[in-house]
This record gives sequence, structure tokens and C-alpha cells, in this order.
Amino acid sequence: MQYVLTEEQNAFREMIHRFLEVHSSSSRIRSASLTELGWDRDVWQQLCAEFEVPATCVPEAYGGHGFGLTELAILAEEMGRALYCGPFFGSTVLASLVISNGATDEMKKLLLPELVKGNKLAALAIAETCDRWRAADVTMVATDDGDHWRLNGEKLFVVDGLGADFLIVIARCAAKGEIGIFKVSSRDQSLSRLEMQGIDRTRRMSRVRFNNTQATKISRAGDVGDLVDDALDQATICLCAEMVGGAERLLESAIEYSKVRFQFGRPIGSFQALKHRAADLFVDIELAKAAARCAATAVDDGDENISELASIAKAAASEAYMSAALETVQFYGGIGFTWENDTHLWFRRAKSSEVFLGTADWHRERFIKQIAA
Amino acid sequence: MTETVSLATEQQVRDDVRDWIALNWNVKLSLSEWRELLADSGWGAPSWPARWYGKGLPATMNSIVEEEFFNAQVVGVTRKGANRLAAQTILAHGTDAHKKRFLRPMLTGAETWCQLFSEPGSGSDLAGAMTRAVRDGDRYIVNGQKVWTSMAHISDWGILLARTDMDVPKHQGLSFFLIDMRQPGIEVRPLRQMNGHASFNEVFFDNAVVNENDRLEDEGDGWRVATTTLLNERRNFDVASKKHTGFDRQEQIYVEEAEEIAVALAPHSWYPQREGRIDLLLPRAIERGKFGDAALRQEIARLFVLQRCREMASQRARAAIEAGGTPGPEGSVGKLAGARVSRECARVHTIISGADAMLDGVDSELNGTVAEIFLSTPANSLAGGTDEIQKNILAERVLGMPKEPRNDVDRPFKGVPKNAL
Repeated sequence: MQYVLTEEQNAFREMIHRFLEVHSSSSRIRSASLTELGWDRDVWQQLCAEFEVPATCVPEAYGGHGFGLTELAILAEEMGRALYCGPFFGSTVLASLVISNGATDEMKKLLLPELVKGNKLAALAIAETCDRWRAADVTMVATDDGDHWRLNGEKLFVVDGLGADFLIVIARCAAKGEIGIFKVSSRDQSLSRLEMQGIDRTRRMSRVRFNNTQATKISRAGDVGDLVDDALDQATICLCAEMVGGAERLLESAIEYSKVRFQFGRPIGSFQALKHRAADLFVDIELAKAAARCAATAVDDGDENISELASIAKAAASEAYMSAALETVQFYGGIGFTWENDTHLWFRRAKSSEVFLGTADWHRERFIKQIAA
Repeated sequence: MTETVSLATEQQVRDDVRDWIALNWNVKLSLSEWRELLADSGWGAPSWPARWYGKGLPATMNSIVEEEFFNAQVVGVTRKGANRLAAQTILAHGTDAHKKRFLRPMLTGAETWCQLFSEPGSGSDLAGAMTRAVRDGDRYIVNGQKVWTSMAHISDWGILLARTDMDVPKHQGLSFFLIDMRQPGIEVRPLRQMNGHASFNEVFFDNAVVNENDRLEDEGDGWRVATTTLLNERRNFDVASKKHTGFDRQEQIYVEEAEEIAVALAPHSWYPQREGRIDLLLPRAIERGKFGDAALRQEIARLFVLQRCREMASQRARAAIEAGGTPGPEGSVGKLAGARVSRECARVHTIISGADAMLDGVDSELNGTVAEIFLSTPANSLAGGTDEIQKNILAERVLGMPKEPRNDVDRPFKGVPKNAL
């Protein structure tokens, strides 16, 4: 296993970091998150044109760059650090990974090149109730009317569902009930997409209702639940990288403030009470970072225990990010509780990420049952 | 390019060791005869200078040579006491006379060393040492007390940090000595810990004598010398090779080595318990029928997550060192995470025990092991630099937070407020 990033990977990270510093500054995030779409089209187009972000981990056969999850996670870490709001996670991570893992070769050839160029966006519709993020939890049924598959029911927490050109929907095929992957055009009139108002305005989610909506099956015959779950584990690992980036940003900001804020004639950062909490947080974040980085590398190495590593990473990142957010507000003191201070932007993302794609409790339960088996 | 060169060198070193072993290893020699041979060859301490029992190889080659010795079942140099630390310090700061007198028996095990740094009054604040060394002609008279001294009861020599000047600031008034432990002015008493074991000693100096010649560097330079020792202690800990417990073979030389190791390890039979025995958690939970308890499963999972993250973080740190970095203050992350693991293990083990956590010895599960875990794990947050010191290191050296104002460095040590008890 490769434990440290290569020079090329670091250079790549540095490049995207510098771009986001300018184009995903807190003032840009604030203004973008006030728009109806929730993100800035120009910035996304630049990310596609200059860095070809959506191509990163798509295989070359489908028009991508063929890098691994390690590189995708590097991007996610920087996006999380800058709190980038845009279709990266919804389309490039969630939807593309499900297509890459679970669609037939023919469908990948059809769908991935469009996503890679960035001129089309996709969103993943899987969850139907709160706390259910895996294929086995899906109950929505797809019926075959002879000519087409038809979907009925509702999907929740569809990330960037409003901006997507098509939806990737996980549903059970009628008759045998096996898990399949379906594609639905978002222009379909039978579809209703409603924004779910969230605490984190930088990650938009929607509620999608299907009313006898026409769908194309893009997975092979038979149950592909395992492939969907593989994709979700990979997406979870990217989410963890994102969370680690966000947590690091919070800690940096808290520490910078502690050096310039003077009380009782000293910078507050010189008080041991704050130093020790900063050090504890640093340890939490370093541990979560190790788990996220190793999990991504393990995917690229073809390791078998990915779900275990994804759960370890998610359990660690969930707690590290939320404590970073709470501590950062406390480091800032009163000003940290104001709307004007940027901390609450990350504070919101920390909670929403903590419970997204499985809570820490859920991941711990899955992990312990796996190793006890 | 660099990689091919270092690979070639590694292979070359392996070849050289194997050739030398093939020519010289003789299972019929006594332990001391063999080690004399080994000391002369340079293969006992490959990273030491060729002039002083080494091969002048980079430190990274030590583990390569060790591996070759282990695979060929060849006995290496002694690992007892503070011999290695003392040797590293003498190599850096000793005169040729020191090196000539001390290095060889340090390798062969003919002499055992201990480290006399910590005091009852100065643990975290090591530079606040109060043990005095007062000059008397060409010698010093030592009075005071050291504590937590491993192996002092069987040591021939000690590396001693003592105060030679009270009128200068604390770091400038210390000197570093090599002291003969076999003298009437030194008394060694075992120190019993809260878990009932006595793994360390207290060392009392009552007009003990040390020769002026046995001082390393100048008077007042002791802190600088001690820093070398501490840095090596940290580094040895970071790159610690697998614990060698001897070869299970009947020939005399193996038996002698096994005895030497047994003496060194005997006081530390509780060390596995100090780490928390995470290996026992799942089997105990299942055996006691508690794995069905969702709250307990969460506790165990939380702990396993922490442990796995810690392992991955330390592999990352090691990889970073191998990729050319130097072991830095990041080592504190591992130390703190390790202390967390052991503390949490003690908590979860006793949750699994329930009311049985009140029991010890023959009346308890696993003959007192859980009690020993409970009573030993606090050591991990104290030994080798307390959690608080580790956190200060991270905060100040890694995160760059401002130092705490101090009132003990810019004035003569005698004017610094001291322990009130």
C-alpha cells in the first residue's frame, strides 16, 4: 500500500487548492448558496475545462483520465476544505461511481463520456427513508410494461437533484425483486423535484417523486446490489476525504485566530487550555485522515476489505469534523456565533456530512459485525 | 535513480552480512566469546563509525542487518538496560578515551547501563533536576535522588544528569556524567507501582563520587548532551524493531541469550496489559454473552476504529520517514493515540466484566488479567512524556501556537519557585 502521496499527487492537490482558494472563497460560497441553483456555473465550467475534474477517476475507455479513487479523494479533500458548492459530489462522485461500478459496458460508453466533459450532470436517487443508504434498504419497484420500465414512489436526499440532467435511480425489478440501476431523464414531465430545505446551504438535496415515470435500465440482468454498495463505499470514502479537508480548514482557522486574539495581555493561543484542545483535535483529524487516505488507496490496490475501511473512515471522520466545528466556534468565542463569521458554514456541513451516507453509529455497527463474523 | 542505488546498497549489505556470518558464526562459542568477535567485526552496530565497532553505514541499514541476523538465527549484541542510549550519547559527546573504555562492553553486555534523569521533583520538567554534583578537586560529590530507573539494580554504570551550578538559569547549570553504580554512596531500591509490580527503581546518592574525567562535554553543557539522549530515545521508539525474545534453541549460546533477555523482561510482564489488551475484547464480549448488547458493540467498535486509525497513522508516519523526512513531533500523535486506546480498553474491559470488575486474582476471570489492565493502563499517559507534554509539543511545534509565558528560564535557578512539598 502506498501510504504517502507522490510528488505528482501533491502537485495536483496544490493546483486545485490554489484554484478553490480564489473561486470558492467564503464570499463566493455565500453568494452562490443564495441563488436558486445553489452553485456557480462559471466555476464548475472552469473546473471542467481547466482541471477536467469529472474525468479524474473514469476509465480511459469511457473518455476519462483513468486515475484512481486516491486522486478523486484528493479532489474531495480540497473541495471539502474550501466548502466548494457545486455538482462535484452529486455527479462526479455519487452518480459517476454508481455508473462506473454497476452499469453495463454499453451504458457506460453512452453515459460516462457526457459526464466526463462536464456538459451533462447526473444525480443519484437511492434513499427512501432517513438512515437507509444501501441497496438492501431500497423498496421502490420498477415495473416492466413491455416497452419500458416504469418507476413509482419517492426518493429522498438526492444530492444536486435539481441541477441534474438525468437521475440514476436504484430500484427493485418487479417479479424477482432484484436490485437494478435505472436512468431517468429529468425533463420527464411525470417527475417532480422539490428542494429539501437543509441546514447546509452548500449541498443541495431534493425530494424526487416518480409517477409512472419512464426509465431505462442501465445495469445487467440480475441483482447488482453489491455493485451499488461498492460504489457507495467508494463515495463514502470520498465523503470522508471531504470531511477531513473541512476539519483541517476549521482547525487552521481556529489556530490562526488564537494567535491574534489577545485577552489578559496574551494571545489566547498561549493558554494551555486551548492548546490541549487544539492538540486533541489535531490527533482526531490526523487519525481520520489516515483512515480516509488508506481506504482510498486500498480501493485502488483492489483490496477486499473496502467496506470495513470505509466504515472505519466514516466513523472517525464524523466525530473529528463535528468536534472541529464545535471547538472552532468556541475558539472564536462570541464572534464565532455570529452569521458574519464563516465558521457556521462549515459547522452546518459538518453535521450534514456526519449523518449523510450512514451515521457513525451505523458504520460502527456494520464494522463490528463484519469483524466479529 | 536514487532508488536503484539504495537497493543496490541494501543488497550489498545483505550479501556482506551473509558472507561474514557464513565465515564466523559458531554456535559452540560462549555468549561472551561470540560477542567479542561480533564487536570487532562491526556488524553488531552497523551505523557506528568503523573506528568504533561499527561499519559507518546509514541508520536505515540497522534493520536490514538485524533481519539477516534474525533469519540466520544468529545472536546479536546485547539489548539490555540503557546500553544503546548511553552508547549513542557517548558516540556523540564522548572523548576517544570514553569511547575506548565504554563502548565495547556496552555491546557485549559485559557491563549494564541505566539512565538517571527523572527525579521525584522533576518529571515533565526534566531540566529542573535538583540532584547536585559539587566539585571536589578532580572529582564531584553527588547528592540527591533519581526515580523510574529501569535496571538500576543490575547496572554497572549510569548516565547521570546533575546540577553543578545553582547561580545560572536552569538549563545552563546542568552537567552530564558517567557514574559508576557499584559504589557505597549509591543505594538502589525497588519502586512499587499502583499495579503491585516493581519494575523500576529509586536511586539515592549519598556523597557518591564521580570523576571529572567521566563528565561528557563541559560543565554546564549537560542539557545539550541530555537532548541527544532524549532525541535518540524518541527515535529508537519510533523505529522500534520487533521485540526480540530469543531463539527457542537448546545450544548453550542461545540459552545464555535467553537468560539475559528474561532478566531484562522480567519486571515488565505487565506491559501487554498496559497497552489495554484490545485482543481480548471481542472474545470476552462474546464468551460472556454480551455481544448482543448494542451499546457495548458500539463501545467496542469505537475502540477498534481508534486502534485501526492509529495503526494506519503510524504506517503513514513511517512511510513519510522512509520517503526522506525525519521523525518529528508528529510522533506525539501516535503516543497520544496509544494512550487513548489503552485508557478506553480499560474502560470497556470493565464494562464487559460488570460487577466482576471488583474481583482480582484467582477469584477473577483470566486470573487477574482484567484487574491488571485496569491498574496498568494509566502508565501509558505518563511514561515517555505525559499526555500533557505531548499536547504541548503538538500545539507549539506542529500547530505553531504561542508558547506559555515562563518564569523559570531567565533567572538563576536558585531563585526559581520549587516544589512546595
